[in-house]
Amino acid sequence: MPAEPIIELLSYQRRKRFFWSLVLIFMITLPVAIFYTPGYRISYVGDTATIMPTGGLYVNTDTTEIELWVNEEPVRNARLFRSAYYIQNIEAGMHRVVAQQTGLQTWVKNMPVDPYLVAEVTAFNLPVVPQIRLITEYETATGTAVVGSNQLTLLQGVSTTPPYIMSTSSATSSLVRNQEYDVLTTLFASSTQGTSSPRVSLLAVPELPPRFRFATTSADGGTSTPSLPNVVRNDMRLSVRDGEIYVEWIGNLNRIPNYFCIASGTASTTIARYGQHVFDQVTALWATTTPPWNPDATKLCRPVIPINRLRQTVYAMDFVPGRSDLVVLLLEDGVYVSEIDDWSWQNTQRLYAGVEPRLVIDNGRMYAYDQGVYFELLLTLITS
Amino acid sequence: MAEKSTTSRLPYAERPDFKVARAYELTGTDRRLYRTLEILPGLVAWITLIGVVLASMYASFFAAYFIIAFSIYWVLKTIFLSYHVRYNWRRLKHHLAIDWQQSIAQFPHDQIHHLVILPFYKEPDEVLEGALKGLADTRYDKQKLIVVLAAEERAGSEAVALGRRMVSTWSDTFGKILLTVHPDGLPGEIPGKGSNTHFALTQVLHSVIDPQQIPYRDILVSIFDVDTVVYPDYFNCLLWHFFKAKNPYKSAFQPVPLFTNNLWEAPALSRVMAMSSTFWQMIMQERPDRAATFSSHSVSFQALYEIGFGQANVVSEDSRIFWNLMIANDGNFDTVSMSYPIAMDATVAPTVWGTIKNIYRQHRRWAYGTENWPYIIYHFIKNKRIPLRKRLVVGALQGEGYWSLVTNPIMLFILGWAPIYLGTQEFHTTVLSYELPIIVRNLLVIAMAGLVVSSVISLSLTPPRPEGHSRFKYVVMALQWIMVPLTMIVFSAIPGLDAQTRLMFGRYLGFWVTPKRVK
Repeated sequence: MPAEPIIELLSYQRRKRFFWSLVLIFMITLPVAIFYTPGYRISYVGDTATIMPTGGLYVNTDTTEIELWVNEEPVRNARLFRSAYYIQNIEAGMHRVVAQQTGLQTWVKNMPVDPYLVAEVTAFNLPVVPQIRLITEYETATGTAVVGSNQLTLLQGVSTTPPYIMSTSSATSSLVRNQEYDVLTTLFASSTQGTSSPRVSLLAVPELPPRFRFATTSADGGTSTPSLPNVVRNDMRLSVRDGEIYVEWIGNLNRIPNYFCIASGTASTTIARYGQHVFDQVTALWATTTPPWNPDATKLCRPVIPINRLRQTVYAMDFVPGRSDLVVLLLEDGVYVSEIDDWSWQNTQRLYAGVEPRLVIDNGRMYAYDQGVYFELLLTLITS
Repeated sequence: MAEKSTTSRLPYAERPDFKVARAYELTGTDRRLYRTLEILPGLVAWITLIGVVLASMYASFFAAYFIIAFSIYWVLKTIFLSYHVRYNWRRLKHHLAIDWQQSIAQFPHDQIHHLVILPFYKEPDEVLEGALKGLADTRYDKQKLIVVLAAEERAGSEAVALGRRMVSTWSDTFGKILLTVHPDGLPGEIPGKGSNTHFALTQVLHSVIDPQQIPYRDILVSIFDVDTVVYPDYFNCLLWHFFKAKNPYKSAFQPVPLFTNNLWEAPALSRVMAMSSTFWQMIMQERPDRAATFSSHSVSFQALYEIGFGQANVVSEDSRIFWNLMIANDGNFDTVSMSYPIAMDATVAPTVWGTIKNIYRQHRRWAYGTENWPYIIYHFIKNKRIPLRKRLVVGALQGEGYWSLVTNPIMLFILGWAPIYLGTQEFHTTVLSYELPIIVRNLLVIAMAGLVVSSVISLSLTPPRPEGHSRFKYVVMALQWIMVPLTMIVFSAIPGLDAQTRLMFGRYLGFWVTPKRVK
């Protein structure tokens, strides 16, 4: 046991040296951080190192396990949040972004990236095989859907959840009546028996029978075709004008989504970055009394974007429940979802084909009726 | 009596404003000056926090770069402080292994008496028992110990009765043990440990020291919180440092408070706060030039006598006594680090919510040490005999300490993200806006690596596991440090801001007695 302390108090000199070492580290680290964070990177071309300003890509997805590719290269370790990816160190220029996953449709977009800036985009990937939740007239006591043999045709082309059982008899005494089914029959019945607008399609195709109606859309009483009421959600209006569908930003222009805007530039750069169609829209606006809005010298915003209807008759339209960047369209050959963002092109994916589906959106859910079966259409893959 | 006759009050301590506690006790220009100084810490803290918010909204790029710089500063500060903790931990372990009894044999110390003041309020019997047993178990001549149980009249007859019982039980153990009862409502006082201690010192002076003609120079006073349990060699270690000190009568001796008496019974939150306080004191042990006295500490009776036994009208009496001594001695007064532990209680209550409230109140009381800053600056302006450099350095360091206590955690863990949420549209589309949370997060992760050091050191300072406690608790004790970002905000920054805001608006805090152990 020592009788005297050997370890002395930390000396002032030693503390001072340590302190100034840390100050030195601070003086070195801070400029590096200030250089790095706005996007400057050192680029090596051969043996030559150059300082290059870079940009970034921010990709939102509605799927947690998506594969992202930029310019045919897989993107790794870019996840920022659960379903958002921030890709750093992107050189200025056009970049092809692909979001894909087994079982999902592929989303592709050409994105312009500018130095110091991050290009934001939202990808969506609908299931290849339609995912549905059956809503049958009867259920077992434990809640399992009971399906009749006449409904099998539809089930062959879709995935369902939860599991169902086949009915072997017409006896229903041991089964429980499904209240959701009753609600849906009422909703769909009113759509087929009603006398108002739903019977009229966007483009005149008189031989087609009436098939649907939207149950919960907020019509604002606008001036579009009376057969398809305008739909307003989150400061956006979905409307029909001159036989086409448009999404219009009606909120505060300072909060307009980025895909309504483009960088100011020459005709060739605008076409290269956003496509001929965007250039045409902006050019057309200059000829009107409401030219493009320019929040600053570098940006032009058009308040209206047309939605690609695939040259088909549109029977219904709405925003996808819970989303204001996607619209759902009931077309001749099925239910489609289209993004509003039309930079380079608009991605449109089929949600459900079927035979002659009808559609009701109620309480944030998309219900369909086809081939004698009621079901809910799901946007994501069913996981067990 | 020869020694006593040479001892008198220091000239500066005779000033009528020497023991000022609040602005309203002064008049005219002095009052306005003191009030301005009371307002400044809270005002600067609020300006900082609001400034970061406004900068995030209207100067997002500047705010982002400022936050990046601040995060780097924080990492380096963490490294700097961790280095001090680790060094002091080594020294503490080393000091625990030294045979201090043997080491003081070289000094003639038979004439030295230890006066131990134990102010108490309504603490349970076991707390007083623990403190007295600790004193009795020291490896020191107990006949040299004068123990004062300082009761409060306002605590009622039970507290006085408890004091009497203790005096009766322990009277044969110590050279002297006596009970003082601090009257309620004495003019010019605020109820609390400071006024009680002040009264006890006066009483023991008249009833023991002067009658027994003990020279003031030969008395070392240890003012302990009542839950203080000294380690066996405390008085030997104290004496060694006293004799080795460059200027022993111009020094206060600071042990390291380990809040370990009830550590195994305390909830994780309480343990983290207790150990965090210990770590802060360990850092201060290696930076005595920045340290003031805290909680339980020791100082010569002569030094205390020369300033009239400190102040009876402040909340943060433990640190104020150091500033009294330093200012009255014209800056010639220091803190000596003992790097030797004393054991104290972690804050607990019967319920988790009660514990949270108690920890908050205790830390608000500690943070109310901000009231020392106007006092220091006021007297630094008045006492020109203190070297100017010392006045500037100490004033700035203390000010920075109070400012960083309340602003740094909030800026780091909350406002660090402000430009992302409050920034301009132009800022939101930049690489900088996306890189900001990433770089701040990464820097914080690096800073959090310091918690591993904290975890290891805290486990090494934890007392042996008592029966009835699972080994699994060691794992919890190791992992409890992940709560630090939360505790820094909830139990350091917010109570600190609370305290500074009260001082700023002149809504002065009273002394809040931290409950000791669950009855």
